[in-house]
Amino acid sequence: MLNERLNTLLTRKLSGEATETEIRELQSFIDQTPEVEPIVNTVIGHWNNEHSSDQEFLEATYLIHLERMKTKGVGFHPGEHSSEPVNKNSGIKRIFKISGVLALPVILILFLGIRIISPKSHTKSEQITESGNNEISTRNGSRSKIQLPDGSVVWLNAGSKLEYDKSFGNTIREVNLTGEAFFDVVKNPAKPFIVNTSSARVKVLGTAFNVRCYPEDKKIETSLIRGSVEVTLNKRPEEKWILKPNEKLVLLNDYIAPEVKEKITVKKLHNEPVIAIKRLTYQPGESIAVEAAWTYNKLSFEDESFLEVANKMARWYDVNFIFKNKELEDLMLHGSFTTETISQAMEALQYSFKFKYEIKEKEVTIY
Amino acid sequence: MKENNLNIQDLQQRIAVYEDETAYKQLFFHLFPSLQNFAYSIIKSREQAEEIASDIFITVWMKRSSLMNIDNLKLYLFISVRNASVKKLNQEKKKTEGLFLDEMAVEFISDYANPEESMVFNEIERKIKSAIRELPPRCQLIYKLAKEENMRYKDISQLLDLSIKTIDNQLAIAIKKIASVVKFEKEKR
Repeated sequence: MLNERLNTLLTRKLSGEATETEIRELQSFIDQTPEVEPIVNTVIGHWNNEHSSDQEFLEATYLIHLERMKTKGVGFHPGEHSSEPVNKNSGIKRIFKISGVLALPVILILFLGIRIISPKSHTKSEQITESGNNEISTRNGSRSKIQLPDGSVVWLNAGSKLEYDKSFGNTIREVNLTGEAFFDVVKNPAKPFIVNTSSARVKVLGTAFNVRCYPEDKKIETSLIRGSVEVTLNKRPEEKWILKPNEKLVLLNDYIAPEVKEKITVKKLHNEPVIAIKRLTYQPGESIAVEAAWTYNKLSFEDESFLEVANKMARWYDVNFIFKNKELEDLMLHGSFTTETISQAMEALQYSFKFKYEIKEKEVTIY
Repeated sequence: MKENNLNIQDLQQRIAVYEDETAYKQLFFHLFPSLQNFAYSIIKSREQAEEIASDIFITVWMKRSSLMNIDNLKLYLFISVRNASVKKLNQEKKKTEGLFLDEMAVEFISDYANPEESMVFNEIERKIKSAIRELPPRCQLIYKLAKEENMRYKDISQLLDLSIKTIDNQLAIAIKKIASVVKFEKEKR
């Protein structure tokens, strides 16, 4: 513990309030009791230690501020935002500008939202809705690849839907997603990329991350591969979560679709916190996190319950699982499938532990 | 932002005289996170804090021509944020009260540091941070304003309506706490 007087002098020196006499007094104090010097120096070091704020988030925040300014009728140039004829040349320039930043693609992976309840009969449907929004969707058992107007590429996983406004990319890049998706986002600090989902809003500029929140799953996961990402939960807008690379935010899925609600709430998770930050999972010898493996056509699971694995397989193979033996639901599994068919996959699972199953068309019964 | 020689007065002048948008943006980058955090500590809602800070910045642009009449722009903006936040809080709670220092939720810039940067955040810094967290909000806030916002006693005094003596004492309590953490950690090695 520092002597009272020494502490007062140090406080004033740090806050810039010390007089010259006090600075001299502090120095002679240190000279007389040299053992306090390392402590004083560390405290000074701490005081001068600064944390720079995240420039990319500031850039995004600034753009949102400018948008607010505009809606309040305050602009940098009066009349600028009133209906301005589109200049063709400037449009061409803008395309060149965008393709210039294409050289810096940033991988952004997302698994999000809610599964479409009634699967469409065709693999991919693209349509423009009455309001001028673009809507792309996939059915269970299929995945597809789309390119957004800014050059970003999106892989849509099974049973998912992606929507974006016709104004996409004018000021910010905003999409709505339900289901699972992998985003390869063109980095453009001037236009933040925002993904809206039923339960969370994700603000990014250049980052690689992964969110999964299927309604039939017990947990929602946001996994960060690199960069930085800010997640705000719709139900708790006052809190924001900032993740470090290789971390994931896990929370209990409180958004459960009505038709699956009953089934899920019966099963309570034991001692699991409502919200927790965990490390990403890597299988031995693999450089791709389990959380992102599906984008490499790999269905991976590591220490997940049979029920969770069955949910993943149901979307992957477009089948339904029925557990006649409820005890099996909690068995923990790990493994991965790539080219296996559903029968081969089920056979493989039987090597891990004994259970019986029956595949009838699109229904897999476990008993 | 101690090493940062960004001169607020210079930016203030560029905005007022030349309507310089770049200067406006620089001022925003320099002060917005601090103002937003300060608003949050009072209003305890991130959304409202962002709105309050954004509104203050909109006013800065709208009133740019009279910006040079303000002596200490940073303090002026902090006081504006304080007033707007207290007003909003009173509207919600349907009462008229001032600032309750001991009910404030103090946030530190380091809470929002770059993830890459926070990974190198060392052990002593972590210990200091949690020690600071144990102090009463009033003490935390004074420490934050003095350290992170680089504010002088007289400015803090005006912003929080406290005497210079109180600020000096409160800050000394925080420094004492930090020194004891440092001492303990050093002896452990």
